[in-house]
Amino acid sequence: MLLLMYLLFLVQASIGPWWPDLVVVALVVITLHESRTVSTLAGAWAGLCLDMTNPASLGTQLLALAASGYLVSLLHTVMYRARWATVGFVLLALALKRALAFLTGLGLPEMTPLLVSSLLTLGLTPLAELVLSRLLYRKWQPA
Amino acid sequence: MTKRFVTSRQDRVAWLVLLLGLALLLLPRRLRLAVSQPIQSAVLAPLRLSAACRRALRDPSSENERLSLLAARLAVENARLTSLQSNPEPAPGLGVELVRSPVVSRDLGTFEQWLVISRGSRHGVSPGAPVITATGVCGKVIACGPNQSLVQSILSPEFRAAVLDLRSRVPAVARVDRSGGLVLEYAPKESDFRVGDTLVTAGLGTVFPKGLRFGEVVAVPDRPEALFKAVSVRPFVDVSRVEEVFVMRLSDTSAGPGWLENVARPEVSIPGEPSSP
Repeated sequence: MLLLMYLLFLVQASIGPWWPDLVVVALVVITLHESRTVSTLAGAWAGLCLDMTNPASLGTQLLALAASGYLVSLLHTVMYRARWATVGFVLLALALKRALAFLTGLGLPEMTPLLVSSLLTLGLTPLAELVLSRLLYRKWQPA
Repeated sequence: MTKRFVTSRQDRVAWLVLLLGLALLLLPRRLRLAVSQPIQSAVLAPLRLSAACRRALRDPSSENERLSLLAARLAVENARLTSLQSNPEPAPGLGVELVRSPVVSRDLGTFEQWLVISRGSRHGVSPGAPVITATGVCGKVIACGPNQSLVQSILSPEFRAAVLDLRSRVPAVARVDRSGGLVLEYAPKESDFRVGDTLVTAGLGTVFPKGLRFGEVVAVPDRPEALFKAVSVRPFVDVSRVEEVFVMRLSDTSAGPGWLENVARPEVSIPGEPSSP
């Protein structure tokens, strides 16, 4: 799982700002199947990798993605899992990531690529959930 | 419920990770960079490796072309800056385009007096255009077809160029002597030329802009009986080995005071000299 996150990070780091946020989608899908500890650790690992592309902001992505993993895992256990839940979790993780980057002084990227990337990320989520669940957990139960 | 979440073992680990992230975030910038350096080199190693592979796989000839064009541009820019050393007026734009051209033929006698290049009037090349390489002046275009041009190299017996000693600022005319080497013509006996001096184009005449690298003084023999000083010059460009040249297309010679003033269309002539056609 950590290897998958790392591979997705490598892909993410190689593509432009217009593309979907593969790391966040994978993190949310993993979080739906794993415990809170594993989810947090997976988020921290992915965040640490992302932080390495901009070491001056070390800790920002780590904190954002670890918190996303923890929160999504927490919400997943207390919320009824509706069809839109995964998309909602991804939206939450994206918002948390951008908000923390903004609060720590990294600022926001350009609005158009940000919107396009976010929309693509949300659009990709159901497919990613299907593929990753089958790939990693050998099961997929539609809501 | 909150108490149950926080006190469970899972949550303790999660909170520990979150606190670690917060602690990293609060580290001073210098410490953050120091901490991240070893991790960064390990994490980003595949990306760096793939970038290196991409660079290695890229066509080396296109990279070579790009670098040689860059070097020629820098040579031109260097010439412009050299000429501006004695001209405090504000510099206009470069006003020069470089047309890259392979050498497709040579004279069969010496291989270095005439070159044929595969760019002509269709590419904006015109007679009189200076021809350079990244290392210095190579010659000038003297005839153009639509797709080919004839270049008179600096080693052609008919070639003359006004040059300037970069150190002493003494001008002279460079030409080929009987032995096929370059010498300076009309250098006064008392003029200050020393072995190792760099010669650049003087910006006299209407062909070469000022400051293009030309050659290096290799010998200044002392001949008391001679009227002029015999200065031997080694050109920076090895014409016999040139495979690719750049033709300078002087696009904007009327942009005001500065580098390209001497290559503008002549409006007056020196009394007593035959006027150019």
